[in-house]
Amino acid sequence: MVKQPFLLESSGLHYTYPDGTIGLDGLNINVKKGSCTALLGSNGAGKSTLLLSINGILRPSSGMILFNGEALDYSRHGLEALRKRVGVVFQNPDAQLFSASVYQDISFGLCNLGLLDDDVRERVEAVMKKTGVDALRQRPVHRLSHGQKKRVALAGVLVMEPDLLVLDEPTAGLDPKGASEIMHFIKDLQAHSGITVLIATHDIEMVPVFCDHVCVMDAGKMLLQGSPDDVFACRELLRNVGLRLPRIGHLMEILEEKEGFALSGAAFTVGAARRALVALKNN
Amino acid sequence: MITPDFYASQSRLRLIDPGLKLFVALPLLGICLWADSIVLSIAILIFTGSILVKGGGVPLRIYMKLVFLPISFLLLGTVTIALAISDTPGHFFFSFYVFGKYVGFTETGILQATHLFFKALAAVSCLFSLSLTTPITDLEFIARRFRVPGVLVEMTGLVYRFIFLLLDSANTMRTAQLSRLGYSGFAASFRSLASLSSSLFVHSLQKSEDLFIGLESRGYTGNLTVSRELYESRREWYAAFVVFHLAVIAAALFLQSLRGNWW
Ligand SMILES: Nc1ncnc2c1ncn2[C@@H]1O[C@H](COP(=O)(O)OP(=O)(O)O)[C@@H](O)[C@H]1O
Ligand SMILES: [Mg+2]
Repeated sequence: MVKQPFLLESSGLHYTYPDGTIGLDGLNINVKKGSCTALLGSNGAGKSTLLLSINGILRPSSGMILFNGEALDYSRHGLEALRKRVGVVFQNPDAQLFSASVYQDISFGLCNLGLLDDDVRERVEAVMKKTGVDALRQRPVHRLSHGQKKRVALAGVLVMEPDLLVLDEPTAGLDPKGASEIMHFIKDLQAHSGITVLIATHDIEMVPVFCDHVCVMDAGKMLLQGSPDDVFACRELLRNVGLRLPRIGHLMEILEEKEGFALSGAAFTVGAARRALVALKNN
Repeated sequence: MITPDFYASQSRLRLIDPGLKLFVALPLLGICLWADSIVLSIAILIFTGSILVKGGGVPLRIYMKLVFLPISFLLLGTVTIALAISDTPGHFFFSFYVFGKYVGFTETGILQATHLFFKALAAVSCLFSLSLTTPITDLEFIARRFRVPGVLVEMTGLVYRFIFLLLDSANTMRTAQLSRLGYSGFAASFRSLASLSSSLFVHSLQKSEDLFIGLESRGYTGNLTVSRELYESRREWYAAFVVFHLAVIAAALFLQSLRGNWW
């Protein structure tokens, strides 16, 4: 069989909530295997709705979702198999953590897979070490901070070793250190395991630093997809849908257009801006 | 606020098999109630207390606070038991005369009350030796072992988890109301409380929906099965405590044979 370049493909997705709100309105999205894809969109753009469609919680009224080249199978068995391979970390960890015990909550997904007790224990212990929640096991969940709860929620999903890790607003509500820690962790994870990551966010600063592909959503539609550089080049489009450039990108734009700096190309991260300015100085 | 659950999850004895802990605490509780001996009660109080403080790492101050938490209740109860009413002052230890009757303490009354007082303290301590070393989440496994219906066990776990979330939301909402003068005055307080409870209800409905989605995403199929941590458990420990309990029973029988009322 030919290796699928896309882990996830969808076209023409429509979803309407029971109260008539349109969640998805003809959405197309492609997520490359092994990529770290950002799903950008303002509040209410339909990011969370899309994520819930990806693991079959919501069933689009029309359109196709292909996971690993196969259309989603909504039978009970099919959904079980799908959810084992697509791990979703929700925005609010309190909605995900059902047990007051860190260990027990993390083990939940594995127990559902019907693994042997010893295997479950081994994998839970390993993921607890990896995500750094090992030190939190001595505390009931309601004694953890928001950031710590997010970590536990992440561990509870990672333990199932999904092929696609879906994160809904992973940095929302975290302090800068906590946000960067969790993103670095995900980056490291990707480097080691080749897992595909899809991140729904409106934290624009994080996108050029951590993601290699960007999808911009608005009102249930896909507005544009591409590399961070390509997407952030469409400034007006982004501004029209309530988004903006990363601060650095904005600064470089002003320097170039208003101050007459002869910059070669755009830069959206501190590193890229530094290189561009150093190049300018040396010329 | 003292929260026993916090000390339970921090306890150094947490990873001891909860079954064993139950096997120590419950028979001891039974013996303590049956033996009805002051000496034995004090011994059990000291034994369970030192398990908790030395073994479990509960600060002595906290342990004292928790054990003596019911003390005012206990004193009130035991004093009423010690009191007796009679027409004649004859067998009273100490009495006073009201409305044509003598009210006071008899020796048997005081004896009974003292017995009860220490028995109750020891019983409380026995239960704490379980609840301060075993978080609710670990007790679930024992409940399952005793064939408590799974739904009941799962509900208990969820309630335990969500009480704190609900308290948290209620607190936040109340603070928000307070900061807008929601409780200044009688009518306003009623209105605020009413809206607080209704939004709390809607809020918890929403939370339960979110939770269900979260569980489904991790493959929930109707059972909240979780793995348990590796508990330390050995047959010898059980055997040792069988011997221990027998020894305590022997001691109780010996104390009873002394026929002194104050043992
Ligand atoms: N459970 C729901 N019932 C009805 N409408 C909803 C529900 N969840 C979301 N919506 C609506 O669907 C749209 C998309 O929401 P959502 O996917 O949550 O956006 P995002 O995650 O991008 O902020 C919004 O207009 C929102 O109000
Ligand atoms: Mg959302």
